[in-house]
Amino acid sequence: MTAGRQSILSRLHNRHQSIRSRVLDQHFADQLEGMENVTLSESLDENTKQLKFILGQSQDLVYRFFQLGPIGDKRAMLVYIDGLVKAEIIDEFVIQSGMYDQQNVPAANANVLSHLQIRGIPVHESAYIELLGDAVHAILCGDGALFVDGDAHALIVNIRGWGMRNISEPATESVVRGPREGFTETLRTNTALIRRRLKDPMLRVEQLQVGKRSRTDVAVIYIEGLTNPKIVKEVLKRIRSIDIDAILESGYIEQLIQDNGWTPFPLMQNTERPDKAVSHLLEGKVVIISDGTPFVLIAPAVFTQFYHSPEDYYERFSIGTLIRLIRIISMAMALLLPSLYIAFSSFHPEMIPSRLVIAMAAGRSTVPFPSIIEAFLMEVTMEILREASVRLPGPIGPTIGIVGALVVGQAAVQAGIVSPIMVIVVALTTIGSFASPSYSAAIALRMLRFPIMIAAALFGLYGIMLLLIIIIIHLCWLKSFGVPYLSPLTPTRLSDLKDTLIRTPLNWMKRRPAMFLPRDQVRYNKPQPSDGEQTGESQDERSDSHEPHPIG
Amino acid sequence: MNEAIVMSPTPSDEDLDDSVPFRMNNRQSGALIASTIIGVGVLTLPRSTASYAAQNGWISALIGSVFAMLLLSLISTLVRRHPGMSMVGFTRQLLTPGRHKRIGLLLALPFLLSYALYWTSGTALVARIFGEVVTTTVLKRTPLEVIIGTMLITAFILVMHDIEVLVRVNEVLLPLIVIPLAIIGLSSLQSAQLVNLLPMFQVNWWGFLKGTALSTTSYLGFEMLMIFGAIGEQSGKPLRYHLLGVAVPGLVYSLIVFSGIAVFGVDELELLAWPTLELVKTTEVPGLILERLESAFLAVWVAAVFTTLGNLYYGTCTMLKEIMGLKHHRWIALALLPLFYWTSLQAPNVQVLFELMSRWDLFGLFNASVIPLFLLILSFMRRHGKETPHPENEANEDRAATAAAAALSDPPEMPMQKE
Amino acid sequence: MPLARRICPIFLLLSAMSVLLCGCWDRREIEERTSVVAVGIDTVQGHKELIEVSVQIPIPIRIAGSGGAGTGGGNGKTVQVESARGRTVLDAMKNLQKKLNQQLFYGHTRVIAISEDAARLGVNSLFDPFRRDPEIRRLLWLLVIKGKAFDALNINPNLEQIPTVYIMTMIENGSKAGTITDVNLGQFFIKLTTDGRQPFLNYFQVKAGSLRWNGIALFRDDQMVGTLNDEQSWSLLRLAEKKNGSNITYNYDNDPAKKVTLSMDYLRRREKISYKNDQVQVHIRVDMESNLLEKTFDSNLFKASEIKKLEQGAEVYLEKNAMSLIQALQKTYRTDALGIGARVRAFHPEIWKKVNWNEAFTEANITVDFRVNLRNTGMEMQ
Repeated sequence: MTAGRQSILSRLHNRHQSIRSRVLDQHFADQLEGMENVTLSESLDENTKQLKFILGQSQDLVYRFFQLGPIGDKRAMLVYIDGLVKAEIIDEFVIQSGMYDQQNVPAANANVLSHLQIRGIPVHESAYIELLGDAVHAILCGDGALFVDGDAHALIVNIRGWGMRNISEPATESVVRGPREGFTETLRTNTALIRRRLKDPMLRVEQLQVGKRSRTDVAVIYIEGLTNPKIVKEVLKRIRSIDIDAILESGYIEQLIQDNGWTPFPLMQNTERPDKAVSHLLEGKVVIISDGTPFVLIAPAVFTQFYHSPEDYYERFSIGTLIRLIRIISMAMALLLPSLYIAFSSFHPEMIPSRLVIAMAAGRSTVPFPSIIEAFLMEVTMEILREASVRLPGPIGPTIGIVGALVVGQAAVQAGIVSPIMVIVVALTTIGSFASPSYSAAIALRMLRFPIMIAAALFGLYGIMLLLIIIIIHLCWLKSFGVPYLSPLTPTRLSDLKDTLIRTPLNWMKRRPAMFLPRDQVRYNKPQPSDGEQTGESQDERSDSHEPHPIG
Repeated sequence: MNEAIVMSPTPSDEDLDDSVPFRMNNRQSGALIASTIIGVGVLTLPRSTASYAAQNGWISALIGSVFAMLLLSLISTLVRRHPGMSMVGFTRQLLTPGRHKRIGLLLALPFLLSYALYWTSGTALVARIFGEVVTTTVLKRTPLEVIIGTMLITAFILVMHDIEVLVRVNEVLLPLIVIPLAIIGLSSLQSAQLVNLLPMFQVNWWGFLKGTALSTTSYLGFEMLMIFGAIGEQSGKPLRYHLLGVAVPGLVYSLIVFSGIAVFGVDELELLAWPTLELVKTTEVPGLILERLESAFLAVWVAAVFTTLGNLYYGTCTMLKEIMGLKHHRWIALALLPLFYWTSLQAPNVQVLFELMSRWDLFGLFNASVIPLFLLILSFMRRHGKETPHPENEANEDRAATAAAAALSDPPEMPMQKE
Repeated sequence: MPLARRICPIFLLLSAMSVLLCGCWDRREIEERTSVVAVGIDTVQGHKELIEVSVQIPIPIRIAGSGGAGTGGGNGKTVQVESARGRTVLDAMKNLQKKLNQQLFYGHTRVIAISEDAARLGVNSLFDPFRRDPEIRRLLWLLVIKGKAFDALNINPNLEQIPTVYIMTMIENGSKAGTITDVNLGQFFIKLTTDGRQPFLNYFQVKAGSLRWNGIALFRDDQMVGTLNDEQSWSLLRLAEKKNGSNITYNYDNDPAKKVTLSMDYLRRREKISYKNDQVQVHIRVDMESNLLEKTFDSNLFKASEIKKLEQGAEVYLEKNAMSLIQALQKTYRTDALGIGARVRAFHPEIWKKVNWNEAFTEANITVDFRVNLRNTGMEMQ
C-alpha cells in the first residue's frame, strides 16, 4: 500500500485559515506566528539553522545534503522525517534524479527549484513554497522539503509512505451478508473506500485540520445537491470551532461537536463500515472521517437508526423486518428485564403465573438479599466479566468470559447467593445488549438499566413507568444537528416510518427520509417500460466494474 | 405524487433552525388534544355513564364525543380567527374598547382567571385521583403524598422544558396509551354477553341526556387548544386534525363503556369503583407469560394521566405567564408545584373527591362552551365592525400592554407572514 | 433552558434522596409473602356467630422443579392447611396470621370453597372482603362443598403436587368438556347483582380424601337453596350455558336391557318469549348434533327409521330431564338459574315492566323442545 496523498496546496491553504481563526497558547502562537511570516532564506545554511531551531534535535529528523547533479556547485538538502516516508521514492526519484539526471539546466542563477519541480523530480505531487512555516508543516506531514542553496524557496515533494494496517473486516460490526471491508486508520484510504462505492460527481470531501498540536486531518464528506446545506454548514462550523491540542480519535470530535454532552444517548453514529457510511450519505447525512481511527462519524443521528444494521437492507425485506424486530425486543430486554424482575418479584407477584411464583419463592428462599441487591450484584458482576474479557488477550478472552459466567452463575446459585431465575435474567440481559448493532447505543441502555432498577425497587412498575417517561421527555428534548432525536416517531412522518420499526421493500421507499431534509428526495423510480433499456445497461456495465482502481 | 408524502407534514429547513419559533403541526395538535382528553376518566367512565344512561351508556359516550367535537370546533374557529394568539391574546384584543388596553386586560381577566382556576384545580384533582387509584390498587402501603409528589415532580420536569418537548412527548405517548386501551376494550369482549347490552333506548330521556352531558365532560381537555392553539399550524386542515383529536378518545371511550356494559351488566357496573380496572381483571389471555394485567394496565395508565397532568400544568403556567407578561414560565411552574401538591391533598376521601370531580367537570363544561361561544360571537362582531388594529399602532399606544401581548413565545405576526 | 437544566437535576436528586431515605413501602420479596392458593370458609358447629377460614399454602421447597434445596422429595406434604376462627372472614384471617411467620398473600388464590352450611346462610357478607380487596382475582373458582370446606383443602390427589391445581384443572377441563359449569367469582358477583338471573355454583363432595363433582348448588339471591342431581345439572348447563352437558345414556324403547349412549355436540339454543293468559310463555328449543358412542343391542342402522328412533329416544330423554329441572327450579327452589329473566328484560322490556319476575318465573309456562340430529355412528356401521 502506498501512503495516502492529498493536494499539498489545499492543505497549506487550510492550515493558513485554521491558524488565523484560532487563539493559541502564547508560546506556541509566537513560534507559529514567526514561522508564518518568515520567508525562506537564500542561504541553505541559514534555512538549516532555522529548521533546526524550530524542529529541534530529533533523531528521526533527517537532513540529507547532496550536490545537485551537472550543475555541480549547487548544494541541496532534503529534509524529512524518517518513518513517514518511503525510502525507495527518495532514493530513486528525488536524490538520484537530483544528483545525476539533470539535463538542460538553465543558467546558474536561474530558478533551479522550479525547474526541478517541472522537469527534474518525477514525483507526482509537489509544491513550490517560500514560507518557512509551510516547509515545517509539510515535513511534519510526511512530505519531503527540498532546499537548494541560493534559492529562497523550497520544493515540497510527496514522498509519504508509512506502515499501515491493511483493509480488513471490521471487528465491531460484523455481518453475515455484506462487504467485508472496513475503514482503516488512514484518512485517504477511507475516503477512497467511500469513493469506490459512490462514483457520484457531486460527492464532496472537505478537509480540515483540527488540533493545535496533533494537526489531525478531518474530512467532512457529503453529497452536494442532496445533503441539506444547513446541516453541512453546521457540521463544518462546529468542527472549525474546536480548539483542542489533539484529536486522537473521532470520539474527541464527537464529544466536542455534539448538541448535548450530558445525555447517555449517542447523538452521532460511528461506524467502521464503508457501506454503512455510504448508505447514510445517501440518506442526506454527513460523514466525518478523522485521520488515525477507523471509526467514522455520521451526523445527524436519530434514535431509531441505532438498531438498524446494513444487513437489514441486504436481505429481503421480510427477513430484514424480522431481524429488526428481534433487535428491538433484545434492546428492550437489555434495558428493562432486571427491573421488571424486581418489580414483579417484590411488588406484583400476582402477575407471575402461580406455578412459577412457587418455584421462584423456592429459589429465592435461600437468598439473603432483597431482589434489588441480588440484581445489582449479578448485573455488576456481569459488567465486570464483560469488561475483563475485552481486556484479556485475544484467544483467552471469550473463554474466560464463558467460564466466568458459567462458573460464577452456577456457584452463586449453589451457594444460595442468587436465585436461578436471576441468573437467567442476567444472561438474557447481557445477550440482549450484545444484539444491538451499535455499541454506543448498547452502552447507553446498559447504563440506564441501573437507575430503572432502583426505580423498580422503590415503586415497582409505577417507578419503571415514571423513569421511562422521564427518559422519553429527555429523548424528545434531544436534537442532533437540528433534527429531533426521536424523529420520525415524533414529529411523525408516515413516509419515514416505512424504514423505522420495520423495513419495507426497497421499491416502496421511493424517497429519502424527509427528517434529514434532503435536497434531492427521489431515491427510487419505477422502471419505465420504454426502449431506453439499452443505454441503461451499457452504463451499468461500465460502473459495475470491479477492477481495483490504482490509487494515486 | 406519493400519498404518504402528501399526508406527512412537509418538513422545511426552518425545522433545523433553533432561532425560528417552534410551530406545532396539525397532527401534533390533534395528538395533544387526544392525549389530554384520555386521562383519569377512563377508569370510572363506564360506571358514570351507565348509572345515568344504563344500557345506552356507550351510545351516550359516542354522542358525548360529538358534542365535544361541536364545542371544539367553536374553539378551533376562534383560534384560527386569531392566528398566533393564545386565549390571553385574543380575549384581550376582543374586549378592548377602542384604545384602552388596560380596560381590555381588566375585562378579560375574569375569563382568563376562570380558565386558570379550572386548570389549576384540574391538575390537583387529577393528581389526587391518580394517587388514590395507585394507593388503593397497587401500592397499598405507599403514602398518597409520595405518589402525588413523584407524579407532580415528573410533570414539573416536563413543564421545565420548551413547548416543543411537550408537544413531542404527547405525540409519542399517544399510541402507547390508545393501543393498550383498545386492546383491553376488545379482548374483554370475550366474556361479553349480548343480554347485558339490551334493551336499548328503554331509558328515560332525561337520564340519557344527563348521561350524554356527563360523558361530554369526560372529553374535557380539548379546551387546551385555547392556549396551545397559538403555536398551531395555520395551513393544511387544522380543524380536521383537531376533531380527530376528540374522535380517537371518543372511539376508545365508547369501546371501553361498551365492553364494560357488555361484560358486567349495568347493575354490577354501578357497584364497581374502577370498572375499567375490573374489566382488565376479567380478561385472561391464555398462554401469556404474565397472568394478571391490572398492574401492567395501570403502568400504561400512568402515561395517560401524565400527559393530562403535564398538559394542564403547562397550560396553567403559560396562561399565567402571559397574563403577567413574563418571558419564561419556569418560575411560575416552580411556584405552582407546592400549590398543586397542597390542593390535591385537600379532599378527605374518595367519595368527596368524586363529588368534587363532577363539579369540576361542570365548571369545565361551562368554560369550554359558554366562554368560547361568547368570544366567537364577539370576534365575528368586531371583525365586521372594524379591522383589527395593526400591531404598529399598538406599539405606540401602551407599552406595558403590548409587552404582555407579545409575551407569547412567538409574536402574533409570524403566521401572517407564513400565509 | 439553563434554568431548567440547573433545576431539573436538583429536583431529581432531591426527590430520589427523599424517597431513598423514606424507604420502599410496598416492597415485599416474593419469599416474604405466603401465597394462599385456596381459601375455605366454614361455619362453626355450635357457634352461630363464628366463621372458620382455612387457607391452603404450598410449601415451595417441597415442590419438585422449584430448584430449592430439598428437591425431589416425595415424602412430606407439599401444602400446608391452616385454619382459624373469627367473627367475620377478615377477623378469621387476622387470627390466621397470628400463626404464621410471613404475611399471607391472596393474589394467587385460585379456589374459594364454602361449605354448604355457610352458603345456606348467605354469601354476601362472606364475599364482601373479596369484592373490596384488589388482590383477589375475579377469575378464581368458587365451589360449594358438601360437608366442611376444610376437608376440601385437605384432599390428597396424587396426580398433582398442589391439591388446588388439581381442583382448578378439574373445573377447567370439565368446563371445556361441557360437563361442569365454570362460574368464577366475577360471574358469580354479576349474577348476584343482576336482576332476572340467579347464580349457581359447582357442588362438590369430599369422599375418602378425594373430591367429586356432585351436581350444582342453586342460589336464590345470595342464599343457597338446594342442589341439583347430575342429570338436572347437565340439563341446566345445556339450557343456561349452552354447554353440552355430558354424554347421555338412555334406555332404548324403554327397555332397561337396551342402552344407548350418545354424545352431545354443537348445541344451539333459541327461545320464544311471549305473554299470554297472565302468564309468561317461554318456549326453549335446543338443536344439537350427536354421535353414537355405545349400543348394547343389535339393530339395523342402515334404516333411516332406526336412526330416527334413536334420535327420538334421545329427545324424549333430554326433555324429560329438562322438565324435571324446570320443575325443580320453578316449584321447589323458586330460583331463575336459567337466566330467562335477563332475556325477558333484554328482548321484551314491555313484559319485564309488567311483571314481578320473581313471582312470574314460578308461574311461567316453560316448555322445552330438543332436536337431536344423529350424524355419525362411529367406526362401526352396525
